[in-house]
Amino acid sequence: MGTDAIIKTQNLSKWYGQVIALNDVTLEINRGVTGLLGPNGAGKSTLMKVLTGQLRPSNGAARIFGQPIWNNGYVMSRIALCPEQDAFYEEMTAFQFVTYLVRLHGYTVVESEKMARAALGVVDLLERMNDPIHTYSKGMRQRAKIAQAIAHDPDVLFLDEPLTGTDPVGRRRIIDLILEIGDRGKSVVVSSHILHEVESMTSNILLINKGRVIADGDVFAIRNMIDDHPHQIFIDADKPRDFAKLLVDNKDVISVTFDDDGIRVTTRDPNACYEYIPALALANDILIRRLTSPDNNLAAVFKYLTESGYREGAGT
Amino acid sequence: MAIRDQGYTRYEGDLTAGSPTWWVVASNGFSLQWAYVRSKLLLFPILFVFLLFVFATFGERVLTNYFMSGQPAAQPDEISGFYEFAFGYVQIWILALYFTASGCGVIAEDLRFKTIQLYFSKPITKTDYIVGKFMSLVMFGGLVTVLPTILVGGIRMMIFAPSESFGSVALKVGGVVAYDIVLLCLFSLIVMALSALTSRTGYVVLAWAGFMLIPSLVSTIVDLVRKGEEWPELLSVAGTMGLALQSLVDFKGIPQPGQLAPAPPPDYMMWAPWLIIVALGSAAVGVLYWRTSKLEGIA
Repeated sequence: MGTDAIIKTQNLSKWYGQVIALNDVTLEINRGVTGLLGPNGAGKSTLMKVLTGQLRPSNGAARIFGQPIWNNGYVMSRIALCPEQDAFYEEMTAFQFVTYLVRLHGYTVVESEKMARAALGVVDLLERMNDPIHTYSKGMRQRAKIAQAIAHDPDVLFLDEPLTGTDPVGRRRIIDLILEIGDRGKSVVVSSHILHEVESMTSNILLINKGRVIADGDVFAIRNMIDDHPHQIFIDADKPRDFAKLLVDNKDVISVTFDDDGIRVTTRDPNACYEYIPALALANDILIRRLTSPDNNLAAVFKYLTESGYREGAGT
Repeated sequence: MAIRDQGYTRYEGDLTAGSPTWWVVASNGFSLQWAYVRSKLLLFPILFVFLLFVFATFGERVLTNYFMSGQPAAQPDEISGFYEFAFGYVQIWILALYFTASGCGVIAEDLRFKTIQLYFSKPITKTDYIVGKFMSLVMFGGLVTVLPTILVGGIRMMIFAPSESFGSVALKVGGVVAYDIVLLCLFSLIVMALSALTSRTGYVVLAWAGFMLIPSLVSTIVDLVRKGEEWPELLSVAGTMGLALQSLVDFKGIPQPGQLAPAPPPDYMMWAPWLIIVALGSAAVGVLYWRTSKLEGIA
């Protein structure tokens, strides 16, 4: 964890009656883009709501810039939320809508209009900004929501499923925008169910399940911490049977299976494996065309951590 | 893909440069209610009703001149207050209708369309939000209450300006303005309280219509049973407001058949309507406080 954490929670819990939505969550979120991941009912939305001041924690503390979030005007002036659901005054135009919400931050009408126009330009809505929102497509509505969130240049931006309903070009544009905001030193927390989208935005993730943060940090580092779970390596070699025979002799290798286009090695020590595989191939004159790790992607980590009930090595 | 320069300049000063936040919420709320076509369409028949009162003023003046010709000018106490009472009483139902058409979603639609969560992440207080919404209703309702009273009352005062009744007329018009403010505040609070209870605007409309009509129906039935008694009027909001209006415009009432002057009302009729108004307003404030304290996040 960096020392310049923008968002910090300490033993944060939130109950809805008898149901516990967040359970003793301690985390830090730094500058840059952070992906908030978790299955339905994991507590993602509750965490987002607590961090955006919508919910008061039942227990523990949640802070942004070192200040408590709940009922804190200073914090509220420096954060922004792009909610998952549509949240519009349908009769208003996007320009009026964004201007109105910027004005709630205390800006004058002239300043607000200038900022609204700039934000709508960023999300490519300038041409339609004077049309009522009820005439917008789903993608346009999504972009209008993002515009209202970025218009006042927040230091911390919370985006709940920001790519929902966007076309491929719009999606790419929003991803680039998120990356650009992150690169400018802002904190961007992106909640999404679509793992490859999060992967395209960041490798820094926060995995949450059953109200607890079960992992946070770099996705590859998290994968390495799951040392009790066998790790798979895929090898596309010109002599797969010979190579498989060589590999099974190693103590860390649990199994070797053949795929249509290569061999799949399951190992308990991927780091050692990555070291001796090239050496073995070289010594036995075997050509390796491809060496990949299907486990080093977010989906695999997500699956391991949420489905296997993994509790050690990372998280809170 | 290139991202164009956003040209942002982050605001570092106090959050006082723009308008007060409650005013931003109020003006936006007013614009939203006014944006409905029905709000504009309904204004035409409502304005027509008020136009009738303008004609009535002319008629009243012409008749007064006719009957008083050759006699001393009308004395101030000859203005009975019936005109102002009728004008104010009509406003009860006009305002109720106008709020039914466009005001009932004032908070319910924020709940329904989730826009309430957009306020959550803004630096506004619960008080800003509630006061803003309240003021939006007051401004909206003012279109069919205070504004017509000032216009029609102004015309009436101009017509009566040459006569000695001018002072009396001016006082009564002032009484109607005061009454309008009470009426607006009370109805706005009640509509807001109902609107805060549900995310379905339709339910708010039903509840508001029920709140206005059912007690009036009960009041009418009881009034028919207990002939000659005035207390059944206190059973309905319209009746209560009517009694408050009577005291503000100094209207003694209409004489019963066979009587030359109306019977003086019992003492409790002077304070009971005001007590009911305060009680209803307080109950609405209580509901709003309770409900908004449940709406976590309007920080």
